[in-house]
Amino acid sequence: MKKLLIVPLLCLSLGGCLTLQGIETAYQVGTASIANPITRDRLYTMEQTIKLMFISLNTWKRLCTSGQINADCKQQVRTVQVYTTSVPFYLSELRKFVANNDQVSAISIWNQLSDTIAIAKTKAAAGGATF
Amino acid sequence: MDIAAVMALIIKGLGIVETLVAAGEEAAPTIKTLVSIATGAQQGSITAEQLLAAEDELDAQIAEFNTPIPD
Repeated sequence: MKKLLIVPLLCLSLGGCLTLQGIETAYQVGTASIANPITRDRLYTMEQTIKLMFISLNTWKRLCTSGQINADCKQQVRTVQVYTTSVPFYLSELRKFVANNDQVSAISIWNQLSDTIAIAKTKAAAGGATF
Repeated sequence: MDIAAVMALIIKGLGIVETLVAAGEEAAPTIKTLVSIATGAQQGSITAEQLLAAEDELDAQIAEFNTPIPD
């Protein structure tokens, strides 16, 4: 059974990374500007993308907790958490700025959030590559 | 909404669903998210209430992952 799980886990890891990659490409903060404002729809799509990423991360974490994947996965999860713990703050600020249509501040936070997610993606990929 | 971005997101999400099912994991939250994304795109724009509901679900997912992993 565990051997059978290796392939899905590899896919899961890559799937999570692909989701993150999607954020970078489809919703890259660098493309946000006054001319290309962060609307409610755009925020919604980005948040749904992040949600899919966290669903993947949570599955990775659950499989790790239950001992179904590599033993050093706990440290890998903790490494990713260093970055993901700052996501709620950025999201909270971004939501406020979008609600108030403060585009300058929203774009700034959007950039910081994107950078944080990009780093988390790199760390998760490093963990996933060992599966 | 940006239909191309939404479609790309749905395709990625379906890949995640496939992987979750293969791993014997719960796929319902992902499917629910995909339905929500598709519904929003079909309607053309998101209401404040829809955004708020989606944000609550996202916050719950983030909180779950950020909970310290036991030794």
